Amino acid sequence: MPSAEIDYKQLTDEELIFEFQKEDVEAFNEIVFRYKDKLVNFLFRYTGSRDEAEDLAQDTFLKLYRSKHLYKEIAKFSTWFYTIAINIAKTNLRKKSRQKAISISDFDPENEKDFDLPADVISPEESANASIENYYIQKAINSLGDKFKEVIVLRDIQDLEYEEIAKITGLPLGTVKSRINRGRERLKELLSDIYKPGE
Amino acid sequence: MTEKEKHLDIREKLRNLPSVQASDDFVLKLQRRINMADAQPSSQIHKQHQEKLEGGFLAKLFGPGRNSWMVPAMGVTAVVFLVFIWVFVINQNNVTTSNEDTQNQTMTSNDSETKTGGDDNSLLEQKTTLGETLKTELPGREITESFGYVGEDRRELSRGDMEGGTTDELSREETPTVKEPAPVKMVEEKPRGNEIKEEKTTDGLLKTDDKVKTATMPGKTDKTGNKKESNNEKKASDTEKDTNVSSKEKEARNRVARNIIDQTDLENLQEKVEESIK
Repeated sequence: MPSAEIDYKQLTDEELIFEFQKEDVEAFNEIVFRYKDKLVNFLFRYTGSRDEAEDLAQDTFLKLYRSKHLYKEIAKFSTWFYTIAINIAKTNLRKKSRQKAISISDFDPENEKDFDLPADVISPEESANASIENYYIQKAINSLGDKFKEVIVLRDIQDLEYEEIAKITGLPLGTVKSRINRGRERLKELLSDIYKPGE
Repeated sequence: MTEKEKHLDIREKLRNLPSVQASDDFVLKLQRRINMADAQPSSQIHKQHQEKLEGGFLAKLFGPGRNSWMVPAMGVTAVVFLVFIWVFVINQNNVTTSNEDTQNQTMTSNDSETKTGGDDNSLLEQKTTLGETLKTELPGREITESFGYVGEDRRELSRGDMEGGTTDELSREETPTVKEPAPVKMVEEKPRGNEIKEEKTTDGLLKTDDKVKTATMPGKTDKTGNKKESNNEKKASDTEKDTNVSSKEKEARNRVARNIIDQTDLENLQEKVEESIK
């Protein structure tokens, strides 16, 4: 039931989702326009892969399209939306680690070419990184544990508030703060190990 | 050192990371996937959604979007139902117990009447068993019962004999007494036991018969109010008369006894009694 009179750019995220709940597809298009870059960036930093990030972002929008009626005005739309995205990303990561475990168990020492270790050279996939330093930062983020990675990305890359991060991750506020702090320390250590500007 | 001052360098580096943007065909790809999803039969999607919602009976009742007032309502209903069941069961038990108590009281009263002076419990039990056995096995029981209470029978008989009456007259007199309802409280009447004791000492054959009758038919002689008192007075006078039993009375009594019970049956009965006592 699209309405030509509504200026969707003026509407808040919450107003847009409520419009979309009334089967207004234009509201959904506006949400996609607002969030696609943010979401792809977040998922790229979380997964370390651009293609994967785009696939996951599309899954997230598809989920939003199908489950629009589940949103209730008890949280910000962005909180709810990032929660969907992070859950989809975690599920994907779990699937990947299971597949990896299977492929390692099938590893044949006589045919080492079947098992590809992550390349240390910059691949076209990581071409989004403007410099070598950015590449190593991303590599350090990928090396972080999941519990640190999600809060670091949400706080220092997506620039979300602590309270919002606590709602998205379902963790207490204190835990979120301490994890961010420990994650930064860990990231610093990793960067000093893998990247020395003089090299 | 505040949180903002901590790890400033790493925070700066993270913030300066270039923002990755979605590819140009992102929206097209998304549109294609949405169209594919829409191509699925809507009934299937609806069904999946319904299945998620209708997790089960409880989810149907108390699930999200359902009637939340049903939770306390169902709770209260359950409590009321349980209380009703509990009260019903308790009452049922009480009724059963009171019935059993009444039966026990009746049996005890019967036993005490059957008892002919001895206080020993074992003897009481023995006699109760004996009385029951005799009642069930006694030949011509129907005839004797038509006479009503034996104690009364004997008194009426002796009176009738003395006054020149016959056994037919006796039965005519006593038949209404037998038909009367038997209130339980009359069972507790005490003086009869003494009478029986006296009778027992005088006549061996009738003693057994008396025991049977007193054990099994105490309620049949029950009468209410003044009539009972007049009967007691009669009994007292009859008892005095009985003490002076003449030979004629004895003969008459024997004759009646012969009419009631055959001698051979009595012998068998006595044997059985002896066996049961042993």
